[in-house]
Amino acid sequence: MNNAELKALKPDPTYLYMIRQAVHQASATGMSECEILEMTRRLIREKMEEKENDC
Amino acid sequence: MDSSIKNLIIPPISPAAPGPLYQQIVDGVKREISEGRLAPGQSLPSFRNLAEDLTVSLITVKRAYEELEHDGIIYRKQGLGTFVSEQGADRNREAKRIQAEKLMRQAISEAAEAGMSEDEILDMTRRIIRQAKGGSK
Repeated sequence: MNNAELKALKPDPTYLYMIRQAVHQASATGMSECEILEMTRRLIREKMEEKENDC
Repeated sequence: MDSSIKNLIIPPISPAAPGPLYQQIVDGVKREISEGRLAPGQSLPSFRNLAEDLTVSLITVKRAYEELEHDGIIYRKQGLGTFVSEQGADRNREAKRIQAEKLMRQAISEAAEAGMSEDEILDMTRRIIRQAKGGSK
């Protein structure tokens, strides 16, 4: 079994589906690539801050 | 003369589908608006036409239009018909944007828990955007 076949058997992680859905929804509102990436950066920052506050 | 949308793409209404029939129409119209197939100012089919197209009762269509009107998604003009409101399109876009943000927030949490770094999450998002837009891998 080659790598491609092995990969096909392995399901995509849930977060990948979620990102795809989020990108789809965001694109449907007319957001550009830059805007979606900016939103992602902001959410990552918020997540990091949340983590720091938990410590 | 009837300038309303002839082929409103609402999926077939089914009593077996989740939610009441009128709600399926409400969701269908909202989806048409948020995906840009129904623009602000565009007219919707009459109660009668839509009821015939979807093979549902007039009361079901009336209820759906009342709900959409109540939410400010559409408005009625006496003697002229029913139209998509400017505010309705904006509100629907905003709802989608909030939903996208919610999904992305959950995805980031899951990805971080799976051990992905900030840069990896961003790279993956960039790749997915480009794939979605049919661009490079």
